[in-house]
Amino acid sequence: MAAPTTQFRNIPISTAETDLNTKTKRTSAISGESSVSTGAGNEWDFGTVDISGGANQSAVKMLFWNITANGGNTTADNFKIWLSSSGFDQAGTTLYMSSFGDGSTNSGLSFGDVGTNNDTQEYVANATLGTYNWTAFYESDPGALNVFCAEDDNSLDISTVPSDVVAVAAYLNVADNETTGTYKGTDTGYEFQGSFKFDYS
Amino acid sequence: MNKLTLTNKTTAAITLLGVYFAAGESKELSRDLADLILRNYPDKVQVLNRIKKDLCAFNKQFDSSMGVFK
Repeated sequence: MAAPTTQFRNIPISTAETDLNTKTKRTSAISGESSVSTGAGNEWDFGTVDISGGANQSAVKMLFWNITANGGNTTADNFKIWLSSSGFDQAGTTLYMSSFGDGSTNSGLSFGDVGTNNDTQEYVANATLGTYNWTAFYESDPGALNVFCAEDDNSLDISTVPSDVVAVAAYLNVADNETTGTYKGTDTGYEFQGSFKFDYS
Repeated sequence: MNKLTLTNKTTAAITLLGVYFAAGESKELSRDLADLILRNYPDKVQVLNRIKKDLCAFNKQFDSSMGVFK
């Protein structure tokens, strides 16, 4: 069997809750989405942040990951996401991601069709920093699952595709005195790259 | 074929899986071997499924970008 093929997409945070409340909607093309991968022009773009007045934050962004072909596999699980390369100089510059509802640790977002959320927070359109609880991204492989899928579960049935997404909200806090410039991908001294790992069988 | 007997061949295949996975290479070959064993030795399915799953992690990367100015 082959490894599953997957995709990342940046989803506009203005997307109405009712446009994301089924897994079919979540895995279909969403208005305003953009493909995210490695390479120039494909970045998950957090925009620009002005720190002339001191520490400042980016807007909230949202990333979807899903499997596009299962390669004959039936299960994907053990989802892990982390900031694998960072060129920021200041310790206070931190990428935050959505967390468990109680704010205890990293996790993903769920949506209106899931009901009670134990391990995720429910998506809210036009989210601001105050909308969700946040915890810092790991900056190395967390070693164990740190993000649940949109079904508020730690595994996905991928026997039929499309299945469902893993959704993460994030924002960046930029510390005062951070080195100015454009951070992206693997640019030397300005690295800004994430990794997503999953198991399949 | 006797599908319930654990033969030396199966043991060798399991060892081979461990070697391949420890080396972090030949993932597809190892997974094919696991599939072969699963088909022929259904009594070992649980153990082999776990071995197979442990070895089939897939790491995807994505770039982010942001401008900082003051």
